[in-house]
Amino acid sequence: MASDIQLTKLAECAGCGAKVGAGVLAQLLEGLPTRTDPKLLVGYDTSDDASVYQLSDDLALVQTVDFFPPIVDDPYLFGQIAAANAISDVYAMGGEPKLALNVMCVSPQMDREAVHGVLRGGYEKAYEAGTIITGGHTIQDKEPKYGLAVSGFVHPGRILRNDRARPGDVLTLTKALGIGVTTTAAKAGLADPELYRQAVEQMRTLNKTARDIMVNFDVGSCTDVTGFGLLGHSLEMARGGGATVVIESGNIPFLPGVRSLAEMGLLPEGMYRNRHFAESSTKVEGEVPLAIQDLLYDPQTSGGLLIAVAEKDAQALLSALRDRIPCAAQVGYVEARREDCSIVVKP
Amino acid sequence: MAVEIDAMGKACPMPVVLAKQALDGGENDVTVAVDNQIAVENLTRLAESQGMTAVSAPREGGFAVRITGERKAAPAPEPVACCPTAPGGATVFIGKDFVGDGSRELGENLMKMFLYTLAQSDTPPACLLFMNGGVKLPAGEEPQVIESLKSLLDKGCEILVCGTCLNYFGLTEQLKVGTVSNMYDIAGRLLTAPRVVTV
Repeated sequence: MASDIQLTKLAECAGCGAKVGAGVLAQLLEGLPTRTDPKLLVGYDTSDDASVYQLSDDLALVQTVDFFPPIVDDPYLFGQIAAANAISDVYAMGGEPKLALNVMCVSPQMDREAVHGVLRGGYEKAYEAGTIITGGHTIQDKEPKYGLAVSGFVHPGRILRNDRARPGDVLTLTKALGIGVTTTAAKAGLADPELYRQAVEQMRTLNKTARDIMVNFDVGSCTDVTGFGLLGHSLEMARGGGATVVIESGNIPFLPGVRSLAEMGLLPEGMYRNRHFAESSTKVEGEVPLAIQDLLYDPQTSGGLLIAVAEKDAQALLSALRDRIPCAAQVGYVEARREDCSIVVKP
Repeated sequence: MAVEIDAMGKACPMPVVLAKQALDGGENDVTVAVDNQIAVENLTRLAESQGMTAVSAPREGGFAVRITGERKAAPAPEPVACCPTAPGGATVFIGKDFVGDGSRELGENLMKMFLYTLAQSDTPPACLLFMNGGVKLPAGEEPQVIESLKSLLDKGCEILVCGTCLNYFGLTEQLKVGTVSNMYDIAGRLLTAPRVVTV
């Protein structure tokens, strides 16, 4: 019954690593016309996780789309990961996903089982999120791709933007880093099976629990850590808030064993793109090993939420998260803007 | 002896893999021809991690990276920073909220004690799987049960709770500890676990 096709062999890039770099994207989009609408609460200009449109005084629509080439060989797991990743953008806005549409590219090598596996993975993950998939669009392509366009709702007064970090906020991260390095090592057959299992488990875990807990606290800003890596996404958060983000690298949760893989040079191309984008705004203070720095730029697929919470609530948020998400950790804080950098990385 | 590796046209991580194979084979002078800057950077990191030196020079269509020096012994495995690996303990399948037959009241108390004992154990289980009536434990009101389960979670024990079962009992919103899961995951854990205990 299971399909023998190894999906990752059919694609050049994997997962969010296929995302066009942040700097390149900004250049590509420059000069395109944009329209404004007073009801468009979050739009094009802040590169947020999703757009938000006000429907009434107490209801706003959240919309997002995300899809990518296979990051794992198993079709069902690929479907689960792609769906968890796409839905995550709604959670990152503080919203609740409700409806979704499949976005799919089918390659000639994919048999019926493989296509079914991907879609079933997506359907079941969406169901777990309380989201209904109502249709979609499938085209033929050389490489397989899958994802979702997701719609959800949020209260217009409780939108969590990615660019509102306030000096004094504490940064909390809800998933471990190292997905890009793990999948790169897996391509080389050098990823420990237990590491790989944990990476897959983490990628297909919804950010729903983290979102549901987070909305009970005074959160200034939130984003999900995906293709741009922790520092790429931190940079967006810092710049928009007119603040400087301090990352304490010693407190960051990493998947077990990724540090030695990073030291060995098993780094995805996306890591270098992210470094290129964020490095000039980043200052390293003290001794931070190169492999750790690399991991801070490592592109994540279906990564965790990066939550900037008021200091008074930081401890309560962390303990509430830890009950359900053992690897949640405080990874830094937000300072008043420094002249020379938007991000500081400390040991 | 010097070794030449042609990794032109090969995307990461292949250049690193090929170079590492040569180093693993005892070579200490390896030159890798690559066609992109990322491969150069990754090979440089590989050399440094082995205590060796990498020098790159432009070559037609790309770069030649030469790795030389004495390779240092493999470092000790790094400690796990977070997301504790599931300990090598058993997988425990809990399909009801009491232990044994005879007296239901006794059975419920026994279950409470059983989970407490697991939580106090030096070798806690790797995984708890709750199905059918078992889901009433992580979604229930018994503080000692919840505390035991939280303590197991802190020790790295994975707790999966059947979502269909929670839904059936109308307890989805009441889940206090553990991850909502499905038949696919739970069956997967049962089939791959080295040791399964059913309660």
